[in-house]
Amino acid sequence: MQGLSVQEHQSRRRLVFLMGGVLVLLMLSLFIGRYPRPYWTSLSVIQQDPLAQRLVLNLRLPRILGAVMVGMVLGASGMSFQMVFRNPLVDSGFLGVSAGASFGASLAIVALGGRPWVIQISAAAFGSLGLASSYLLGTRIRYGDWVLRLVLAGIAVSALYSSGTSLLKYAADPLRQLPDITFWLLGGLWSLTWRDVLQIAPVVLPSLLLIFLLRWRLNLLSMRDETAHSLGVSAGGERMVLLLAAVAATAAVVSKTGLIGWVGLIVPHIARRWVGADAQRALPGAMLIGGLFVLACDNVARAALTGEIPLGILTSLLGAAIFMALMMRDRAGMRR
Amino acid sequence: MIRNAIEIRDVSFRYTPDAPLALDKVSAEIPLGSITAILGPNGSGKSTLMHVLLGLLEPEGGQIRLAGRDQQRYSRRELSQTMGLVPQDEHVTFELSVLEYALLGRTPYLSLLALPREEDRQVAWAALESVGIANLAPRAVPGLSGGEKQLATVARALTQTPQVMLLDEPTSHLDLGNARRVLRVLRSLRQEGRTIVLTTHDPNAATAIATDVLLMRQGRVIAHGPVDEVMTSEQLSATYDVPVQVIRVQDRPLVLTHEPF
Repeated sequence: MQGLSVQEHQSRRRLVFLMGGVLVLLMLSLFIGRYPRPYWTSLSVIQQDPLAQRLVLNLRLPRILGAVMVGMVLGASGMSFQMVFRNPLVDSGFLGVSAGASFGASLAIVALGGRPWVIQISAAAFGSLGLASSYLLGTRIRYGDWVLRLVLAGIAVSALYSSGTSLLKYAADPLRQLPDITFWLLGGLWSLTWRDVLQIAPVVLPSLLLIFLLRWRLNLLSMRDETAHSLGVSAGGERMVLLLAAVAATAAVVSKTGLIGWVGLIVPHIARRWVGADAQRALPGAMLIGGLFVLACDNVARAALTGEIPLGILTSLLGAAIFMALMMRDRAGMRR
Repeated sequence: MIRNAIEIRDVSFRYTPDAPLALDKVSAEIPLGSITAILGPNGSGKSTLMHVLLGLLEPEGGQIRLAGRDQQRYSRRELSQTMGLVPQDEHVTFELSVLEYALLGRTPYLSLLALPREEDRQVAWAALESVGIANLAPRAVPGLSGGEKQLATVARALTQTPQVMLLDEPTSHLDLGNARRVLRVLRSLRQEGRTIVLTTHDPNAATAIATDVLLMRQGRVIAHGPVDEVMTSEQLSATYDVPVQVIRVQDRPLVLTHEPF
């Protein structure tokens, strides 16, 4: 009876497998691209062609690391949002965080000079504001149960912010500012440089570490306050810390990459099915699956066609399709 | 020598400053190793009293002593090591397995960043076994039947290794068979030396397992004492405002309300 169960051994093996998967895909991605020839750059080409070398080191590598980071953040924050709000149907895109962050970034581009750190701070501030207003609205809606109320509130708040963003687009300088804003709404990693990666890492890595360290507590926080309290936990404070970390990390990556939809919603579902619902394993699972998913999509986005396909379009397309498939199957983790 | 697990003295509580008293100078002594059933109509203050005992609500007056020590002097963590709660309607949103769910009961013994260790798993296993659901360990909690889910929640509270178990209407959603199963488990927990306090709407559940009964009405204690003294036709009729008859079957009180409407 003692020791780990068969299920637990299996989920541990799967986590190790996922970790290996991320590393392997990371390596392989260095060879994927369109220079000098489409799709595959062989090792000998990289060794002989100095331009290819610089391209791999200065363009592909930061973008690949960025993609993994984005995926991990979206997976981890999606899992945190779902568990903290006891609601398997939310993610940053459904809680007003992404819409708030992109409004904040657009505002920074149009009205605040558009320096990178201003954009990041403005994105984080409006992302948090979006989350807070969705939550408060959710507690006040007088229709449906908690899951539905929070989703409805998130949709309303997101719509409000989107209209604000549209207004900013209308007011923006079409030559200098509009392209920056448009980039946001499409979402993509093509402009990601070493500098960007280094700018967001000091926010993203500590936030991810914090969420990772607190991962077992997510199980507790997915219980009602009455239960959490009877277990000696001050749920409010711990929820706040986790939400702040999730919003900060999300806003940081979103400020560099624009809106990358659906990852935060579906990745936690896939993780729970694959490694179990216990956040001790589901959270790292979601981080790794998120990293794999975004990196794979970004490889397609940058190498499949001569022109770049915006990553946000790909993740939404795939994400929505996977979501529909998950919803229609039994045991999708949607049960309440 | 401490005789009482819980001593409640003149405890009053109201939800908002201008609301009527939800608890009006409630006093009671709950003996160590007893099963005390709190009975009373809806809104009589049963659940409120339980939440006050847990420290979830702060009373505006009076004193509570747990194992002889003032409840105010317990830290939240100590309180949760002393008392376990089985809430009325536990919602488990995500598909935690029964074992993972029971492990949550180790929280009062784990620091903020700690993960459950092997000792914790053994305590959780022992709890599942003493509740009789070790075979359900790998099953997802949201997929359990009502009775199984209630037993899983009892096991989760038991994993806290508390001296006192509080159960808020543990049988109200259960059919006869499952209610009996849960009550039997509670009785076996008492035999292990725990003190059990439960609220219930079913007087016969109370007479089936309780040693003591606390009758409440409108935030006040109507009667408190051993089952045979408290569960009388007069007391129950006064508590519920309907004619209640208590007969004895196999030397146990049986509560009936079979007057025509």
